[in-house]
Amino acid sequence: MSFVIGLIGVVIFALLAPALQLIARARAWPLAPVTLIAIAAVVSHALGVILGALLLAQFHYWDAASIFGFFVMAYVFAFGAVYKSVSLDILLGLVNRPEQSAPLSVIVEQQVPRLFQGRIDVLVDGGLVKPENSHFSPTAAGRSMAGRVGRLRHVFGIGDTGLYDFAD
Amino acid sequence: MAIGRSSEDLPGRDGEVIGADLARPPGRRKRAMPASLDRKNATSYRVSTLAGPQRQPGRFAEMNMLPGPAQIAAICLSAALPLLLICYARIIRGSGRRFRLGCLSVIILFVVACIALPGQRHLDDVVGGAFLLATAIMFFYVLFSLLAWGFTLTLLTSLVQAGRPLTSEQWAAAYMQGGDLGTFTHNRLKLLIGSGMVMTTDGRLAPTAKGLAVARLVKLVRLSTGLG
Repeated sequence: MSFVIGLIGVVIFALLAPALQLIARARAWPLAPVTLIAIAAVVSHALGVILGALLLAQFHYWDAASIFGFFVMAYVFAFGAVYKSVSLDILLGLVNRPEQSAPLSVIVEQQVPRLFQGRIDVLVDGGLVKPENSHFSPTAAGRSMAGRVGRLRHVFGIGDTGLYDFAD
Repeated sequence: MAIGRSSEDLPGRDGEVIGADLARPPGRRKRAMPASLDRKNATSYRVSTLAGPQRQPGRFAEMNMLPGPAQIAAICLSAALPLLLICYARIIRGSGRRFRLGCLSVIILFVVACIALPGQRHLDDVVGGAFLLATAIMFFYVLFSLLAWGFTLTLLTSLVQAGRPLTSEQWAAAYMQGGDLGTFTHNRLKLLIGSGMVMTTDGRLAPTAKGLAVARLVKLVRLSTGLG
């Protein structure tokens, strides 16, 4: 039954997380989508635990937490994929065209530069990069984050190209 | 393997059975301690949050806060996964291959732990452990993929590495380490074409039936997650 309580927590999360995203967008809350997901996860997990403690004679916390964690991470995984995936953006760009096809040049010259500009805007809005005339330079926060990312990449033996390695 | 854990098979303080105690008339019930350690099964630790054996509907119940043996194994292996990836960084080339091998290693170790750990296995303990391990794998994959293939993060690191202000065109060239956005586009398209979602015909790119299905799924996920 503790697993069922975990699943009830998942249902609460699945309702709360999109509701928070919609409210945040409508009211222009200065909170990142990931922060809203974290808030939804904490609230729904707490509600699930309280419900389990109230309803069950023997509530096994880790049984409920395991199934809750699994489905919430699956949600985060799916959310991350559709939120900022370049590949899926290219696919949707093709599907949304009236003729559902495009020459490669259109993708290279129009769609990818738009995606590129969108990511620059994310970095500027996040205070990691500042625009100066027609140039861009990193802020102190941007340098700090790049340093942390570089150290983590070094520790995990990850290159810094950001490209898929199809030799894998 | 036992299926589930009923209240009857949960020994209480000093090995006495809580279920049996609950079956006694209220006046003859022994008073439960606020917290008890099961001496037959050291992994079973209960916190009586309020009512103990005289629990009434709507009151807080006993909560078992300690994970079972298989769940403990899964938690330890989850913590070991990033350490394993660090070790593999020295011996295995390719980020994706390294992550897959890391996951395979912890899954095999979890199966071995489920077989080798002493004592009776409970199905809910093993299932819970498997869910915990899968949760950790997904969590680390999200972080690992951001580090390895994150577009925005790599844009930032390339700007910092350039060491001077760049125009957007120079920034794109710095990001591609001498290449251009065409190289980047080809890299991402290779993924779409390789997975059968996009095909090229007469120099034009078009989604396949699989690509159309994935696009519909993406729209559905965007709608249901509040991204619109």
